[in-house]
Amino acid sequence: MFDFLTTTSYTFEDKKSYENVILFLYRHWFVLALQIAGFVIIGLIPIVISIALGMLFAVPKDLNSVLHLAYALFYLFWWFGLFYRITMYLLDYWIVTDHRIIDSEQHGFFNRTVAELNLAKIQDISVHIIGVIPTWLDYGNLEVQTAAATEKFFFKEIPHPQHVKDVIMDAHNVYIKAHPGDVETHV
Amino acid sequence: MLDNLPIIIIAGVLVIFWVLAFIVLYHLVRFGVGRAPKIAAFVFFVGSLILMVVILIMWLRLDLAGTFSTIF
Repeated sequence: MFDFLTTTSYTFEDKKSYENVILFLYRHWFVLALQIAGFVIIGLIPIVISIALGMLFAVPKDLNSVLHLAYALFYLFWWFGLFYRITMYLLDYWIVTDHRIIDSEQHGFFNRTVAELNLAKIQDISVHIIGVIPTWLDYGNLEVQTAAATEKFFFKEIPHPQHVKDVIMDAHNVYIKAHPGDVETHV
Repeated sequence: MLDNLPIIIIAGVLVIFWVLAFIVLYHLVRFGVGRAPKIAAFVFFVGSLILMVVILIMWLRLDLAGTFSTIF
């Protein structure tokens, strides 16, 4: 019954039968943790209001039940807001396969960008780690310069960007050796 | 009509919530890759059901006429 929780691991739309996933990356967990912390603080508002009202006034029982309903409605939309952020986090991902790089970004509901880049098109890769916490937790941005004049691929706030850079460069070298002249051997 | 206004408001709020919830669940299941989005969708769905049941129970226990007479 719960097969869907296990069988879909790292399979994605348009995955080629001969393609193997090398890396699957979300943003660093700390990025999501910061947003969740913000929601936790917002979630404390009804509790603070409830305590403050209880200390300042003797709230009648009938009014108290209205307030409890209002708090429950607040938490319903708080729950939605929390999972909206989690959804946006989970739908921003980068996949490195042994043939290409896929950049999938969700900018909001029904607003999605998916781009892909053949490994042969990679020219150079640079890593940007800016700030104390990113340096401490080892996360940052990775920029892939392609053969096209202006096109760039950005991996945003990914964990261990230096290691990811090495893995992509290795995959690039293996791909170039296996596909001389950039001709796809699997059809 | 005015007598039914509170129940219309609550029903409207719940309908709006479930439309939004459906959109979240659709995105997680349709576009999510791997296990994490499916688990998140499941947790969100269960949490939403629990919160809706809590709201309905609180609504049923509510005595609006008594509340208004207390306030005014």
